[in-house]
Amino acid sequence: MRGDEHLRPIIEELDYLLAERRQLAAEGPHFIVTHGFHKSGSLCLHGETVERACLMYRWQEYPLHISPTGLLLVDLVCRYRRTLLTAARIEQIMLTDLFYTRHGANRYGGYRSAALPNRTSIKVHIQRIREQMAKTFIEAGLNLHPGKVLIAEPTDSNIVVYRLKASVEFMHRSY
Amino acid sequence: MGNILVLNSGCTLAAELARGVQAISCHASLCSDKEQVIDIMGKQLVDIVILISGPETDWKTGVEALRDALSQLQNPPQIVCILCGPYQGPSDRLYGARRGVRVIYERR
Repeated sequence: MRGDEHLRPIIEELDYLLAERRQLAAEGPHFIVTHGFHKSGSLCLHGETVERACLMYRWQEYPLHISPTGLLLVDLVCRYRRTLLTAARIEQIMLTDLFYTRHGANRYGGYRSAALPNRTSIKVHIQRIREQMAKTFIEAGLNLHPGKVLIAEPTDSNIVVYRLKASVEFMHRSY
Repeated sequence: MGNILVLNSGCTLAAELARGVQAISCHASLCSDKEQVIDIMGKQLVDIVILISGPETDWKTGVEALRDALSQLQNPPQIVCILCGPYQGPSDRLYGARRGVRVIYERR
């Protein structure tokens, strides 16, 4: 096969691209959520803020341009991605999890929490997050449908269950 | 098993690639035009579409047309453009990267 030696770099590249597609199909994309105002010795504790969420793809970060309320929702679906999340469950978590009820309490000079989404507005927020995901995927040159990442699954009743199919990394900064 | 379509089946590189990808457990089909690619995509799941472009052809126009056609699909494939001819610097790869197209130079 000496005559095909010149093809080796191309075939290795194709092998890599196929592996990348398989990984994306199995695990979804990779997101980084950054928490601000974190205190050393703790991780993801109440008082921190959700500063941003971004897609990490091929060594580059692509921020999701979403509102503070949307960021809270993204953080929630990331942190609770192994939980069945109905709109009612999301609302309950938002109202009881100290991370959200005391969001930003570590910030200097007190804090003004972002508006928490309620049960009826969650569907709208999810749709807006998907729209921003779609723009970010296009910017990153990633052929992915946001509906396959932030998934809404019907159940045996009328209730819809939300699920994030992605790997997530939380980063922390003190400011 | 990966499924690959190679556009521009007239050139010898296409046939060589179709043979070569068997080494990575892939099956490659050769297509003569964009319409044939879309027709096959409607019948089977395709992972990668390869556009082979010679030095005399405008690969960017070909890639844009292919992107437009494939972006309508629910599960669009990765587009790879293989440029035959002398290396023209990083601008081609950067152009492709912004559009989700992997650009590879063939060096014989």
